[in-house]
Amino acid sequence: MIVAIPVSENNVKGTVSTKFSRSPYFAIVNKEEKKYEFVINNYIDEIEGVGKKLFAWLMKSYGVNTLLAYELGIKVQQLADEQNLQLIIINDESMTLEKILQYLGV
Amino acid sequence: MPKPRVLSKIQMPPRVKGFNPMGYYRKNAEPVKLSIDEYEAIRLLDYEGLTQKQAASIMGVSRPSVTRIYQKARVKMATMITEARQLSIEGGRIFFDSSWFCCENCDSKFNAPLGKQPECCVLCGANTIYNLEE
Repeated sequence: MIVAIPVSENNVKGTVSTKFSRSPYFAIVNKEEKKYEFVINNYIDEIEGVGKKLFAWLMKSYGVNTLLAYELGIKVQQLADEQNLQLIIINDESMTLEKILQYLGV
Repeated sequence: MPKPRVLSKIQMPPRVKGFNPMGYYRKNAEPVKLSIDEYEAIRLLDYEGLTQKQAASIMGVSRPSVTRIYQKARVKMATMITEARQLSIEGGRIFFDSSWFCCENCDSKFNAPLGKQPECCVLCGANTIYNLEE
Protein backbone atom coordinates (compact mmCIF):
# COMPACT_ATOMS: atom_id res chain seq x y z
CA MET A 1 0.00 0.00 0.00
CA ILE A 2 1.46 3.35 -1.06
CA VAL A 3 -0.27 6.22 0.71
CA ALA A 4 -0.19 9.93 -0.17
CA ILE A 5 -0.77 12.13 2.88
CA PRO A 6 -1.01 15.94 2.65
CA VAL A 7 1.09 17.41 5.44
CA SER A 8 1.71 20.93 6.69
CA GLU A 9 5.46 20.43 7.29
CA ASN A 10 8.15 18.17 5.93
CA ASN A 11 8.76 16.41 9.22
CA VAL A 12 6.84 13.85 11.27
CA LYS A 13 5.59 16.48 13.72
CA GLY A 14 3.61 18.14 10.93
CA THR A 15 -0.16 17.74 10.95
CA VAL A 16 -2.40 16.64 8.10
CA SER A 17 -3.28 19.58 5.83
CA THR A 18 -6.99 20.32 5.79
CA LYS A 19 -6.96 21.06 2.04
CA PHE A 20 -5.60 18.16 0.02
CA SER A 21 -4.67 19.89 -3.24
CA ARG A 22 -3.27 23.03 -1.57
CA SER A 23 -1.06 21.15 0.86
CA PRO A 24 2.57 22.36 0.79
CA TYR A 25 4.00 18.85 1.18
CA PHE A 26 2.98 15.25 0.77
CA ALA A 27 4.30 12.31 2.70
CA ILE A 28 4.50 9.25 0.47
CA VAL A 29 4.37 6.20 2.71
CA ASN A 30 5.14 2.67 1.55
CA LYS A 31 3.53 0.47 4.20
CA GLU A 32 5.05 -2.84 3.06
CA GLU A 33 8.62 -1.48 2.83
CA LYS A 34 8.11 0.65 5.98
CA LYS A 35 9.54 3.72 4.25
CA TYR A 36 8.38 7.26 3.75
CA GLU A 37 9.56 10.40 2.00
CA PHE A 38 8.41 14.01 1.74
CA VAL A 39 7.71 15.64 -1.60
CA ILE A 40 6.92 19.28 -2.36
CA ASN A 41 3.59 20.08 -3.96
CA ASN A 42 4.66 22.08 -7.02
CA TYR A 43 1.05 22.73 -8.02
CA ILE A 44 0.11 24.61 -4.86
CA ASP A 45 0.05 28.06 -6.50
CA GLU A 46 -1.67 27.07 -9.73
CA ILE A 47 -5.04 28.68 -10.24
CA GLU A 48 -6.95 25.95 -12.05
CA GLY A 49 -6.94 22.17 -12.34
CA VAL A 50 -4.70 21.62 -9.31
CA GLY A 51 -6.47 18.46 -8.16
CA LYS A 52 -6.27 16.78 -11.55
CA LYS A 53 -2.56 17.60 -12.09
CA LEU A 54 -1.63 16.64 -8.55
CA PHE A 55 -3.52 13.37 -8.78
CA ALA A 56 -1.83 12.42 -12.07
CA TRP A 57 1.61 13.28 -10.62
CA LEU A 58 1.08 11.25 -7.44
CA MET A 59 -0.14 8.25 -9.42
CA LYS A 60 2.53 8.36 -12.13
CA SER A 61 5.59 9.33 -10.11
CA TYR A 62 4.93 7.42 -6.90
CA GLY A 63 2.41 4.71 -7.76
CA VAL A 64 0.07 5.91 -5.04
CA ASN A 65 -2.92 3.63 -4.48
CA THR A 66 -4.28 5.15 -1.27
CA LEU A 67 -5.15 8.73 -0.33
CA LEU A 68 -5.35 9.73 3.31
CA ALA A 69 -6.84 13.15 4.01
CA TYR A 70 -8.95 15.24 6.32
CA GLU A 71 -10.91 16.65 3.39
CA LEU A 72 -10.90 15.78 -0.31
CA GLY A 73 -12.04 18.11 -3.06
CA ILE A 74 -14.77 16.95 -5.39
CA LYS A 75 -12.47 16.50 -8.41
CA VAL A 76 -9.91 14.43 -6.52
CA GLN A 77 -12.75 12.30 -5.12
CA GLN A 78 -14.11 11.66 -8.61
CA LEU A 79 -10.65 10.75 -9.96
CA ALA A 80 -10.00 8.47 -7.01
CA ASP A 81 -13.34 6.71 -7.55
CA GLU A 82 -12.58 6.23 -11.26
CA GLN A 83 -9.22 4.63 -10.39
CA ASN A 84 -10.68 2.55 -7.52
CA LEU A 85 -8.27 4.07 -5.03
CA GLN A 86 -8.46 3.36 -1.34
CA LEU A 87 -9.58 6.49 0.53
CA ILE A 88 -9.04 7.12 4.23
CA ILE A 89 -10.66 10.15 5.83
CA ILE A 90 -9.44 11.05 9.30
CA ASN A 91 -11.64 12.92 11.73
CA ASP A 92 -8.92 14.77 13.65
CA GLU A 93 -7.23 17.65 11.85
CA SER A 94 -4.56 17.89 14.56
CA MET A 95 -3.33 14.36 13.85
CA THR A 96 0.42 14.35 13.20
CA LEU A 97 2.21 12.31 10.58
CA GLU A 98 4.02 10.59 13.45
CA LYS A 99 0.69 9.25 14.74
CA ILE A 100 -0.36 8.12 11.26
CA LEU A 101 2.94 6.30 10.72
CA GLN A 102 2.41 4.62 14.08
CA TYR A 103 -1.07 3.49 12.97
CA LEU A 104 0.35 2.20 9.68
CA GLY A 105 3.16 0.38 11.49
CA VAL A 106 5.89 2.28 9.64
CA MET B 1 -49.52 8.71 -7.50
CA PRO B 2 -46.15 10.49 -7.86
CA LYS B 3 -43.23 8.57 -9.31
CA PRO B 4 -40.79 7.55 -6.53
CA ARG B 5 -37.56 9.53 -6.67
CA VAL B 6 -34.43 7.59 -7.60
CA LEU B 7 -31.75 7.06 -4.98
CA SER B 8 -29.13 9.81 -4.68
CA LYS B 9 -25.50 8.79 -4.98
CA ILE B 10 -23.35 9.99 -2.08
CA GLN B 11 -19.61 10.25 -2.64
CA MET B 12 -18.52 10.42 0.97
CA PRO B 13 -20.40 10.00 4.24
CA PRO B 14 -20.88 13.01 6.53
CA ARG B 15 -18.13 13.49 9.10
CA VAL B 16 -20.55 13.59 12.05
CA LYS B 17 -24.03 12.32 12.89
CA GLY B 18 -25.28 15.76 13.90
CA PHE B 19 -24.74 19.04 15.73
CA ASN B 20 -25.73 20.51 19.09
CA PRO B 21 -26.37 24.22 19.69
CA MET B 22 -23.99 25.95 22.09
CA GLY B 23 -25.20 27.40 25.39
CA TYR B 24 -28.95 27.35 24.84
CA TYR B 25 -31.23 24.85 23.28
CA ARG B 26 -34.94 24.24 23.33
CA LYS B 27 -35.72 21.56 25.85
CA ASN B 28 -37.86 18.69 24.59
CA ALA B 29 -37.56 19.96 21.02
CA GLU B 30 -37.20 17.28 18.36
CA PRO B 31 -33.90 17.51 16.49
CA VAL B 32 -34.13 18.76 12.92
CA LYS B 33 -33.49 15.72 10.74
CA LEU B 34 -31.33 16.47 7.71
CA SER B 35 -31.19 13.48 5.40
CA ILE B 36 -27.86 12.45 3.90
CA ASP B 37 -28.96 13.43 0.38
CA GLU B 38 -29.88 16.89 1.71
CA TYR B 39 -26.46 17.10 3.37
CA GLU B 40 -24.85 16.10 0.07
CA ALA B 41 -26.80 18.79 -1.81
CA ILE B 42 -25.59 21.46 0.64
CA ARG B 43 -22.03 20.13 0.39
CA LEU B 44 -21.93 20.08 -3.40
CA LEU B 45 -23.75 23.36 -4.03
CA ASP B 46 -22.66 25.60 -1.15
CA TYR B 47 -19.34 24.08 -0.05
CA GLU B 48 -17.95 22.89 -3.39
CA GLY B 49 -19.66 25.69 -5.34
CA LEU B 50 -21.00 23.44 -8.10
CA THR B 51 -23.99 24.30 -10.25
CA GLN B 52 -27.23 22.40 -9.74
CA LYS B 53 -26.64 20.65 -13.06
CA GLN B 54 -23.18 19.46 -11.96
CA ALA B 55 -24.52 18.36 -8.56
CA ALA B 56 -27.35 16.47 -10.25
CA SER B 57 -24.86 14.62 -12.42
CA ILE B 58 -22.74 13.62 -9.41
CA MET B 59 -25.76 12.56 -7.34
CA GLY B 60 -27.30 10.68 -10.26
CA VAL B 61 -30.65 12.47 -10.03
CA SER B 62 -32.40 15.05 -12.20
CA ARG B 63 -31.68 18.76 -11.89
CA PRO B 64 -35.21 19.50 -10.59
CA SER B 65 -34.71 16.80 -7.93
CA VAL B 66 -31.53 18.52 -6.76
CA THR B 67 -33.44 21.81 -6.57
CA ARG B 68 -36.10 20.18 -4.37
CA ILE B 69 -33.57 18.38 -2.14
CA TYR B 70 -31.54 21.59 -1.75
CA GLN B 71 -34.62 23.69 -0.96
CA LYS B 72 -35.67 21.26 1.79
CA ALA B 73 -32.14 21.27 3.17
CA ARG B 74 -32.02 25.08 3.28
CA VAL B 75 -35.32 25.25 5.19
CA LYS B 76 -34.06 22.68 7.70
CA MET B 77 -30.75 24.48 8.19
CA ALA B 78 -32.62 27.77 8.72
CA THR B 79 -34.94 26.08 11.24
CA MET B 80 -32.00 24.64 13.12
CA ILE B 81 -30.19 27.99 13.36
CA THR B 82 -33.24 30.14 14.10
CA GLU B 83 -34.87 27.83 16.63
CA ALA B 84 -31.58 26.70 18.21
CA ARG B 85 -32.44 23.04 17.58
CA GLN B 86 -30.21 20.03 17.41
CA LEU B 87 -29.45 18.71 13.96
CA SER B 88 -29.19 15.04 13.16
CA ILE B 89 -27.88 13.83 9.81
CA GLU B 90 -29.37 10.48 8.93
CA GLY B 91 -31.39 8.49 6.44
CA GLY B 92 -32.62 9.57 3.05
CA ARG B 93 -32.98 7.82 -0.29
CA ILE B 94 -29.30 7.24 -0.87
CA PHE B 95 -26.55 4.83 -1.81
CA PHE B 96 -22.84 5.35 -1.42
CA ASP B 97 -20.46 5.42 -4.36
CA SER B 98 -18.57 2.58 -2.70
CA SER B 99 -19.04 0.92 0.67
CA TRP B 100 -17.80 3.03 3.55
CA PHE B 101 -16.62 1.85 6.94
CA CYS B 102 -15.81 3.58 10.20
CA CYS B 103 -13.21 2.52 12.74
CA GLU B 104 -14.10 2.92 16.41
CA ASN B 105 -10.44 2.83 17.40
CA CYS B 106 -8.91 5.59 15.25
CA ASP B 107 -12.20 7.26 14.23
CA SER B 108 -11.27 7.21 10.54
CA LYS B 109 -13.61 6.44 7.67
CA PHE B 110 -12.48 4.40 4.69
CA ASN B 111 -14.01 3.00 1.55
CA ALA B 112 -13.90 -0.49 0.12
CA PRO B 113 -12.82 -0.08 -3.52
CA LEU B 114 -13.88 -2.87 -5.91
CA GLY B 115 -16.37 -4.07 -3.28
CA LYS B 116 -13.72 -5.89 -1.22
CA GLN B 117 -15.06 -6.17 2.31
CA PRO B 118 -12.32 -5.22 4.82
CA GLU B 119 -11.78 -7.36 7.90
CA CYS B 120 -10.01 -4.63 9.80
CA CYS B 121 -9.30 -0.89 9.66
CA VAL B 122 -6.97 -0.04 6.74
CA LEU B 123 -5.30 2.65 8.85
CA CYS B 124 -4.81 1.23 12.35
CA GLY B 125 -5.55 -2.46 11.75
CA ALA B 126 -8.17 -2.68 14.53
CA ASN B 127 -11.13 -4.96 13.94
CA THR B 128 -13.57 -2.53 15.55
CA ILE B 129 -15.08 -1.43 12.25
CA TYR B 130 -18.66 -1.09 11.08
CA ASN B 131 -20.34 -0.45 7.75
CA LEU B 132 -21.82 3.06 7.59
CA GLU B 133 -24.72 1.87 5.45
CA GLU B 134 -25.99 -0.49 8.14
